[in-house]
Amino acid sequence: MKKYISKRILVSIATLLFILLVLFILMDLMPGSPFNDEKLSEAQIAVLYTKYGLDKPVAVRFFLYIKNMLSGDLGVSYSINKNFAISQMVKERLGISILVGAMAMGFGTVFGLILGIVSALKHNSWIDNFCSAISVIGVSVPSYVCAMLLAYFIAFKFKLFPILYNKSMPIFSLILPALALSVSPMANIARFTRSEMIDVLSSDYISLVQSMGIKDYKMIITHAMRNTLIPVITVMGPILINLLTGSSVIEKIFGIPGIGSLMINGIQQNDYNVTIACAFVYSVMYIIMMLIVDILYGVIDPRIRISKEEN
Amino acid sequence: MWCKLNALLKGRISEMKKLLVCLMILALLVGCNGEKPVKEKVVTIQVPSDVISMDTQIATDGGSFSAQDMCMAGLIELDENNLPVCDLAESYTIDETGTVYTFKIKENAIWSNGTPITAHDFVYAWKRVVNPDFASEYNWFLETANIVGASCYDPESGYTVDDLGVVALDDKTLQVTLTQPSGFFLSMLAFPTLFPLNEEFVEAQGDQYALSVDNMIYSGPWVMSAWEANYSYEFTINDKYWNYENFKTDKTPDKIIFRVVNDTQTALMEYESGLLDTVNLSGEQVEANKEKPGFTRRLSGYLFYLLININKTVGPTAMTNVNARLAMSYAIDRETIATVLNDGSVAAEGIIPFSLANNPETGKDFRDDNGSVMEYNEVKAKEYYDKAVAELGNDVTINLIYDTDQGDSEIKAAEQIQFFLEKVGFTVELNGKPKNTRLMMQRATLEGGKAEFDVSLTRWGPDYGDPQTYMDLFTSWRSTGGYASEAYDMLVKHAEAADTDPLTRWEDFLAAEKVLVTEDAGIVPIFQAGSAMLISPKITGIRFHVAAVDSYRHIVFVD
Repeated sequence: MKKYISKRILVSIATLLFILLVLFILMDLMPGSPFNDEKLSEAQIAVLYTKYGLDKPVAVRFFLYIKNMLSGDLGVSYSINKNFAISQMVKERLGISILVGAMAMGFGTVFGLILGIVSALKHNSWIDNFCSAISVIGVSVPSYVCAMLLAYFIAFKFKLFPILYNKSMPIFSLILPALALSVSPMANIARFTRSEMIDVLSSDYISLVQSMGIKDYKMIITHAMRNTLIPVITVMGPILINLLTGSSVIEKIFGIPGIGSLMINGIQQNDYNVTIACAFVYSVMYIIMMLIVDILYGVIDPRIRISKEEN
Repeated sequence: MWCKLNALLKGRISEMKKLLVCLMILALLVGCNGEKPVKEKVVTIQVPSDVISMDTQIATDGGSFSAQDMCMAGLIELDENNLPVCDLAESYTIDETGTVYTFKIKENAIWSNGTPITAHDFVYAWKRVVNPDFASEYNWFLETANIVGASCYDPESGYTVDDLGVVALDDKTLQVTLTQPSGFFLSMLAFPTLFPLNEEFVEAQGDQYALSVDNMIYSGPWVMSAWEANYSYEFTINDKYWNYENFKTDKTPDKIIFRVVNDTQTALMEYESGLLDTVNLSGEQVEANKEKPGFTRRLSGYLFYLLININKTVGPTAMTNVNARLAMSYAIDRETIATVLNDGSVAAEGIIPFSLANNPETGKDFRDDNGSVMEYNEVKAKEYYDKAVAELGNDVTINLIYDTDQGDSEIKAAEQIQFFLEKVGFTVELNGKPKNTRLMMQRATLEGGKAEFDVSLTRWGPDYGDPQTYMDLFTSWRSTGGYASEAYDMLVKHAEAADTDPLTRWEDFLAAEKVLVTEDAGIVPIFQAGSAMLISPKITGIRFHVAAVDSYRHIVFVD
């Protein structure tokens, strides 16, 4: 197992370096510049480019960037918060996005699992159809619409939650955004859970468990869930990454200073350092998440663990 | 491990149910009385984006300048009528040539850390912004203000920073020398670029200066007490401000918070819940909210016009044809465009916006003096178009570029322009681009000779309250569109000559506008941007300036 993880880490580092190089080249090819005031002349822009080292060739800038990155320096922002250290900007915003994402994942997983399990247990009944309908709505309705509905009815009309993100009560004011964000993952998890559980419930060893007289909920949790969870976890990995890296739409609506909106602003304003730093952070998180998912398989399913050890 | 988890869950389910119910009740309770603990008098302003920089010589956007205006001060401030009044300056004299200004700085003017504000602070700050090594994006500002030697930001000008016409005669006396008399110089001193900086403090902060509230000292009526990036920035009263005694009354807020909210819908909900005291309205929201108390329309100085690529050596020949351009000008119904935008924008009547500048003798607005120098007339437009086609030998196709990422106004306006031009016979290809791409295309075309567009919907915001800030753009030496007219150049040169009196200067500009817009259609003005807001009737004192920074310093409660 240790050898396996070490190999995966080395491959991940090589992947990250490659991603960085591609990002650099893409940013260079993008039209426009970070300095786009109408009042700047060509000569002044040239001076600004020199000041920020943007006049050097891509290869030179790439190596300089890697060198700085290793000491934690991700460069400075040109146009979002001028001269701010990006490592600081990313750190602050990433924390909030991870919080919203984790809460959304929590809601999505809990409600998704419940919906999926209930559907599977009451397979082909009206309850099943009802839960499926909820799943379909969850997948089809954009998070923007859910967010506005929640903000308007729950926050504005009934005043149960704050409308906007409030730093003095972070978790409470993030409940609505997290709920809006959780609708789509909940629907996905519900569908996967339902179909996996139906398969599992119709298998031989479950029939054996039932014939042993073990109560339903105990049977589900002890025997059925672990097999159901494997494909669900596979799906949860990428879903979690999407959530953690911030939905810029939800962030915009609820006034959340997260990393999703930072990335979008960086792209729109050609703030190269910000865009590269955000994209790089996403890549790192994705790779780590895939590694965790892989390890979790081994934990949940002894068959996978044993076969790996045998190899 | 799984068995342990299982055992834990067993028997815990009912406890979890209880916990869940408690949490729900708690949420309801907190939600229901989740109002502020109160009694601090706070005003909360909505802003669509964060401050980009608090360094008065690095920022280029209105939001940053307004924030700087809260907590920093200059020699001069603009009052509610746009007139310059003394702020840090105690008094000033102007010599008989009109080119030497001597300012006395108030004895009790001190920084928030107790150090006196001196003339050296101004000299340091002004030299910093024109220093070519500093590469400020506003380094041209002092040259526009006609300060001697201010072109030193350009290494090829022959001037160095030491040639800058500003000197500290003593700690409290500042002398500024201009290249020629200037009616708008005093107003420019109200702009943050010309605010003082304390050299010792700024140098001690190194590259951290102005990056957080701990790396700044303040000269203005407020102090920046907090800055959470992309969330909010807050101000509390500066008790070291020279005018603190008069400034702080029982109607002054204890705190002013600027909250960054980008979404117009949730911002409006927050305003209606009483948690924001101002909110910017989008075009769609204006109809539903225009009867509400506190509805305010304001014009900005941004004048949107069609920049025409008249580059005779490389540009498309159709745009060099004056009849084609006149056809464009007559074809467009600007009133309808303003109605469609429905966001407070108004139809342009010339290149000079409303409320920008006043006749030095009569005080009349430039627009009242010149009236509308364009006309919407479809019949005339068709006549000019037919003439152009006859002269060019073919129909005219226009490649129109405009911004797609700056909000709806540009997109709607471009579509309307296409509609009106096609009515008279043009074929218009719409080419929406992100703003930075459009600007790059403009520069490439005008400075590099490539022909990437025919017409660009662009805008210009005034740097100061005088027509010169627009007129300069279309001289042959600035040549923003390749437009070049001897008559126009002559009028502008004469207007800006050192020995021209203010009234003749004004009349020169009136005539120049007619040459540019009415006779030559060198550019086609479309609309002056405006915006609509809701401002809580509980507060007053926000000063909107067309040609300067919007000022929130003087916000007070109504009772």
